[in-house]
Amino acid sequence: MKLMHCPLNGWRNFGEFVYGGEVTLPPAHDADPKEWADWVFMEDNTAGVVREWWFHSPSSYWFIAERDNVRDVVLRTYPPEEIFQERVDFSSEGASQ
Amino acid sequence: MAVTPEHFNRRSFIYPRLIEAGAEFAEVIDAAVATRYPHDAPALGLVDLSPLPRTGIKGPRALEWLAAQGWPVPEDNNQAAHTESGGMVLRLGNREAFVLPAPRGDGETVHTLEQSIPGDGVWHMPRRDSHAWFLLRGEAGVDCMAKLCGVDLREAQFPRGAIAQTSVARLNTIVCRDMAGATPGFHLLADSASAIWFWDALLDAMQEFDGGPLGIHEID
Amino acid sequence: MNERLPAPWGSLLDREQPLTFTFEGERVGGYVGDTVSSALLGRGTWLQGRSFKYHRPRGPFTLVGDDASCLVQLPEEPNCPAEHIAAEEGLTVKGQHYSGSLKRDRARFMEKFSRFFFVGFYYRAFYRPRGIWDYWEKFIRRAAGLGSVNTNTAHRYRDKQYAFCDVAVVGSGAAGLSAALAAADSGADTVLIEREPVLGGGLNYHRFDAEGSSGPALRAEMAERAERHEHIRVYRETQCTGRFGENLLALVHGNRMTKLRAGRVVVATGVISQPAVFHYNDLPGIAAGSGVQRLMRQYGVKPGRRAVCVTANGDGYGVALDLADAGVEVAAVVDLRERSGSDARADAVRERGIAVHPDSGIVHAIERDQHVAGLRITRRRQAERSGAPGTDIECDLVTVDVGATPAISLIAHAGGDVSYSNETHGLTVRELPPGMHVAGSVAGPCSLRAAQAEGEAAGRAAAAGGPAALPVPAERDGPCNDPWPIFAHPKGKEFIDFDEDLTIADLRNAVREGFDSIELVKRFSTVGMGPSQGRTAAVNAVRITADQLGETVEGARASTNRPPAIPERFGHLAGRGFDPVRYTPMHQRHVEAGATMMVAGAWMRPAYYGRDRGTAVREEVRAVRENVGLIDVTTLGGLEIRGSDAVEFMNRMYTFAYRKQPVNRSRYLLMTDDTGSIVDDGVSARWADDHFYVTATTGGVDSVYRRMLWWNAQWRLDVDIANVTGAWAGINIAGPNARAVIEKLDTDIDFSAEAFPYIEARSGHLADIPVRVLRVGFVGELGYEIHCPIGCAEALWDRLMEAGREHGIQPFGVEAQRVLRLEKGHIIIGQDTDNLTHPEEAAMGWAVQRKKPFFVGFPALKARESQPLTRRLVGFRLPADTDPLPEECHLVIDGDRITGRVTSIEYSPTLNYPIGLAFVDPGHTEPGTPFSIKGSGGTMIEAEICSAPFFDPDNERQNL
Repeated sequence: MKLMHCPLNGWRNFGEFVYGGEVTLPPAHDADPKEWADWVFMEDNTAGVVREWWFHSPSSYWFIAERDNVRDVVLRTYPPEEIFQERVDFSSEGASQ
Repeated sequence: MAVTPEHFNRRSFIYPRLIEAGAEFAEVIDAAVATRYPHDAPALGLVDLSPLPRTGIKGPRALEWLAAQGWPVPEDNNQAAHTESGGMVLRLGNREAFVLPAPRGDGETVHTLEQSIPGDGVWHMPRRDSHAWFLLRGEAGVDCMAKLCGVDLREAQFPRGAIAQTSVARLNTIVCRDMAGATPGFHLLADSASAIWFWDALLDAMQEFDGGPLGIHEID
Repeated sequence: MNERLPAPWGSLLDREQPLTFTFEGERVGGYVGDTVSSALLGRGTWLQGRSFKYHRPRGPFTLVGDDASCLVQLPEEPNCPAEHIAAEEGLTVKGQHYSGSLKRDRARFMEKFSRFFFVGFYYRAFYRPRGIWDYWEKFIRRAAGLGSVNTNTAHRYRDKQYAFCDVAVVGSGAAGLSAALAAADSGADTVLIEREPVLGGGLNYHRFDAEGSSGPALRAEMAERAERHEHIRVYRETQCTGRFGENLLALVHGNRMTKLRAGRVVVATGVISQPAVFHYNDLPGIAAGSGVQRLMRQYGVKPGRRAVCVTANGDGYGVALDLADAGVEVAAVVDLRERSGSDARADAVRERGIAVHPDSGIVHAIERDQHVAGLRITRRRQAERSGAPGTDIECDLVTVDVGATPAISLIAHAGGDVSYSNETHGLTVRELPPGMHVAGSVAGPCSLRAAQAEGEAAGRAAAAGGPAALPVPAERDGPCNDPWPIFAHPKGKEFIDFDEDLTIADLRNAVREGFDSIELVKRFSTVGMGPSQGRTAAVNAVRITADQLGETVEGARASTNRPPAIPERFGHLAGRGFDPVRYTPMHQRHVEAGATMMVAGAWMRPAYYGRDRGTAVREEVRAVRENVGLIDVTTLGGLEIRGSDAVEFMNRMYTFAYRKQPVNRSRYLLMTDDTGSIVDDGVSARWADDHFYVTATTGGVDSVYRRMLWWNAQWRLDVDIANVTGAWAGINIAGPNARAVIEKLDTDIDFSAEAFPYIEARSGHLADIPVRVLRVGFVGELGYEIHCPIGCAEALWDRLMEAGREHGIQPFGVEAQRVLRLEKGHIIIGQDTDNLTHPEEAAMGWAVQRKKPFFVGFPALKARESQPLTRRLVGFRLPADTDPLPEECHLVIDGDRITGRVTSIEYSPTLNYPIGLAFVDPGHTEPGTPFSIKGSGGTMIEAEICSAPFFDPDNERQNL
């Protein structure tokens, strides 16, 4: 079995990980439905280096992997904080609901 | 009168197995713990520590608070530190720790710690219920674990106090190399609902090493 | 039985321990240390198998099982290579691939029709008409005489184990031993893998010099040191069947598969002897020189009386010397080369007066009694001429040393590049994969000294994590491969692939048919697809394919080499199955109460209590409606949502609104995914402004938890999400007498209707056990869902059962719960919804708060709701006497249209007629509307839409 490096737990068998899809930034909450449909349904399907979500199941830890899917090599893995640094707020937060 | 698990509200997740194996029990705080079995202690022993207190804390201020209470907090994630009385603090991440008492020691201390968890960024994790706690003890422990787990647990790679959050017999398990005593040991913390299955799978894997259940009074 | 050669011949035999087994019903003697094959050869039995197409007689060729000529049948297992089956007292062995007996195979006549069995015969003959193969297959299989599987074989314990090392060395010949010692001497934790029972590989039997002394001396010194080395673990009788990602080696030994994770791998697997290709080259008695040397040195077998040694390098002379030493008359050394070159062994052969025929070619072999009886040789360039004259040399043994191919499986598995080289005249490793080193003859022909030097260098480099280097062929001075050891014959039967009985013409014809690459030739002709996987066929197939294509063979590749390198048993792959089972803490109580258990995900749950499903479910439903029942709901998922942003997080994850949910109140939860489809439901209890406890479905909780973590990894709200499913047990006590029972226990909670009304939640103690109690109504009665620490749950269950005894409390199972909830019209996610159901379709629009700016799935839901509704979930009833009932997923039909399907259906013991939920046309959902369901066998069943809940429509009972 192949190994992958988890930023929290180190090298582990692939069997301990769950794939979570491409890393794509969701549209604004009030964006056009077309934009949302694109985000929900369309994958870039890049041949080359892709940025993916991976989940280490035994520790319930999400992280991001940069993987060359042509050579099938994981180049780098890192915590999601590297990309998601800011708290996300929705402008018209329904304070009363 | 002999102490039996069903005498207490709190029972080991695997107590029917312990009774089948002929265990003698003793009262520890609020539950019955298997102390010895009707055979000589095996070279590779499996100890059920599930009825003992233990707790977890989680949250943005969890580690800071724990240190402030005077508990040793390891420098790095997936490292354990031991307390003066032989208990352990397992640091599972930047905001989470698991606290174990010494198998024959400071259960009350951990119990007290658990009662004082304040909330507000320092949240209680019910680890005594979520996780069964076994100790696999003996020289053959590494070889036996290799039948169940894909992580390299040889001492050079996985020294005392090292933690692996991994899969053991396909069950998510926290493995921690024991920090006390001369005999190598692995603490195994895994889903309590799967405890009976896990106990059986471990004993099966231990067979070729003449392994068997071990009572807490048989730990030297 | 023939006499065995005296010691020191037969180094593996324990002559103190004779044994007897049977082969084809005949008693065969041997010694401990023998294989089935060597013991048979010890009594002169070369005929050990049959080819599977023409049923030609076959004997061992390489003597290490690299060919598959001697597959035998053991009582419990077919297709065992006789060369690797240890002879055991009392073992029963039979041959395979015959009809009648191995000696007298009635199907040998098949060969006479060989011109009809042209290449690709099966593909073409059974291509049309459709079904013809299905008809003929059984006859063909029977005629082939394949081994048989004993389906009564007892289960054998096999398991798997991981192992770890810094350096793994595969092969323990001179190169492998040198590598292992060098690596271990550098301090690396080293594993040495050898498939034979003893270390040393060729050092045990190969004659490296005229005297035959260098091999044994070197072996004695190095093997002993390796066995004792503190940093070397030796795996003997271990097959390395594959190399997988990041140097994971699969090792099969005994009843175990070891998955060895190695920092570096040194491949020192040596070579596989190759046959020469000539008419009748497959006869028993024609064997690889190395194999014959093993037979004599390790098994003490005198392999024949009169031998001819065919060779194209110095090794064949070494074989001739060994044979002469063992008392075998060497009739001739037949050298394919023009000149024999300088080799001390060749000089020694001449000194002994053995006839040497240089520049020779082989016309054909002569068969007598299913064994080789002679060889016709001639000048090499005349050998292929039709009816070539030549010299017949009488013999009963032909040894072949015309070349070898490196055992490159592991290198190929790892992605190394291997192709034909005109320098070595063979397949050659061109590029090494990362993390892998090579040493010795696997890297191309080499001398003993080169093997040692390369082994040491590779071992040191592997231990240091340094770069791997490929040896330079020119500096290695090894036994050369003949570039074209192939002699076509007018009558064919020059076999390239012994497994599949493929000849030169078969391969040339495949190319003529247009299969112009080795991969295509392989698939059409099946070359290399038999049990030996081309180990003794690939090189010659590559040569002939290139020749037929008129292309240079330089750079040509053999077909792709994939794991496993040798057949693996399913038992080894399966090992011990790990399928964790989750038991609730009350499991023992359910079993004691006679429950029939069912699997729910990884959990075991009581389906109903008792044997008879119908009666049990009816009784259990009645108990809940009229009295009091108890159900174990420990399998429900549980999550803690805590932190200053807890309510914000709840609002984003679930469709409802939670900001105004009061503390100590529960609220329904509905979760949609990115597409706005329903994925989970549950109940939340708010314990504090910053603390929600939420339940999730048994099957959904893991993905709900994962999804929550994923979203918050992006939102970065101040909230902690904890999955506490395993920590909390759940017991639901329901029925008109529920309060009476619960109030009998010691408690600090006021259970009175006024203090603790419907939908409220409390935490406190019950019978000294900490509890969280939710007044929720999945079954629609006065009820309490009690959550308590799982370690105390059995005690609480016992106390509740005790307290309820005077009321006749009835535990109820999943089946009764399904009926009860259906009577209340409550949906089950995943049963009454599918992956595309949105809340409006499920008639759950009331659970969606649309004034929130966002929740997961909201944008999609808005888009979908702007489209017309295509289906809607409704309740329906059937006439009381409907029989048989329609089933879940039966279709709702309107004229010629499918408008929906049944999602749930049960006979209601409370209402005394069948009720259900179904998706129907959203235009016809008025209660009272009739519609049709297509039941089993196509019968149309008339149903009537009615409003849900079916029972107690105003929900008065749960509010008591």
